[in-house]
Amino acid sequence: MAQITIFFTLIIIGYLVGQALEKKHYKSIAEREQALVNLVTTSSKRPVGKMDAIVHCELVRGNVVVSIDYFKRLVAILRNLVGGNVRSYETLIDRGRREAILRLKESCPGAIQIINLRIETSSIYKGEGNQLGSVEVLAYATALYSNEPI
Amino acid sequence: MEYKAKLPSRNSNVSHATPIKEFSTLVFGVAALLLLVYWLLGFLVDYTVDHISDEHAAEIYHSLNNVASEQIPADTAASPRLQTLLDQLVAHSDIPYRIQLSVADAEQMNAVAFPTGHIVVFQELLDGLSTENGIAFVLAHEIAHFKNRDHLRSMGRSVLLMTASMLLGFSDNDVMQMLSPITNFSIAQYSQQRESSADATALILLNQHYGHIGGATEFFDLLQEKDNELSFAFSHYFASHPQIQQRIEQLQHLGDSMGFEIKPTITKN
Repeated sequence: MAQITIFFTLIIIGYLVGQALEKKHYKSIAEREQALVNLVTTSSKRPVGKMDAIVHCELVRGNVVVSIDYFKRLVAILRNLVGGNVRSYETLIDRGRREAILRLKESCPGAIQIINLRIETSSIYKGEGNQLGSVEVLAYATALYSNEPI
Repeated sequence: MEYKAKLPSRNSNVSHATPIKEFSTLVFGVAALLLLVYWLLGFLVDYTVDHISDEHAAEIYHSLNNVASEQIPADTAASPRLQTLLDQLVAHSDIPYRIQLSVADAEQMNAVAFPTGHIVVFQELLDGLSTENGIAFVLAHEIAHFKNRDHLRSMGRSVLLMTASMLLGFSDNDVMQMLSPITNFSIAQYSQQRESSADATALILLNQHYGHIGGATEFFDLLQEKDNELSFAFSHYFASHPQIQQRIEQLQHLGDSMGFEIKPTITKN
């Protein structure tokens, strides 16, 4: 009985804390994305506009590791039994990618454009059944700097 | 065309439905599936157990001697009088093999039937019961577990349940834990059903031996007197044995419907 009680307490804590943190994170993501919305970002190898104006370019990257809560992990395990959309992992991936891009953009203040953006996702604890599911997302790109608008 | 930087108004990469709904659907769905599988496997086990010959059953019990004998508490052989009583009851039950009776000196109001063909009664129970009929009912109940082959049924269920959970990939600790209330509930319900059935068989054996069923409920009456511990409201759903009052009523009802008489009991000496 005690074991079951601990288990359900963990689920409830996982759910409440997980939801609260996720909400907070999404709020922060939305605000920071809005602040950086005018920084043109593409996956193209060439910049948008005149190339002559560029004075300096550099490799920039943003990296993040996110984990899901206990509750969502259980939902995913159950989902694995029957198949279908693993909805409980969607926010994990979404948060990870957006946060990685934000960190990348924040790492190059003054850049006028970001080109050649690439995103890579890898799972941490791969194959370890008893570990919490977490992912590492790496975003890397070329930041362009210029003294005049292009 | 003019480029205008703007964020999407809605995030369509994640589902906005509450995860609790998905969770409950999945839990109830998987639980229903498990119960169905358990029920089907149980049906299979019962069918097999009912079709095993007595010799084969005795052989299985005998083969368990090597593995299970360590679990039997250190004990002394029962008095010849008690063993004779057991042998007579066994004779009524048509069990072709001998059942060994021992007395264990533990403070427990109980008796246990081991699948190795041993019955162990605890001294406290013998001291507590005042009539031979009362003791005979307890022995008959344990004999009934052999007659109804409850050990084989529960062993068969455990083996199949373990195999099934391994095949389905439920070896993951968390899933097993999450579903444990369901499996515990079904195992407990099944166990209660077997206990009731053993009570019924025991009542018939008692009637065959004495010609009446006096003293059948003595053990339960005694338990009920002692049973004043507080238990949590739903605990009996998960208990291996039915509630005591319910067992007494069941015995009375069965005795009435089969027309068994209640006559004076023999005082134990």
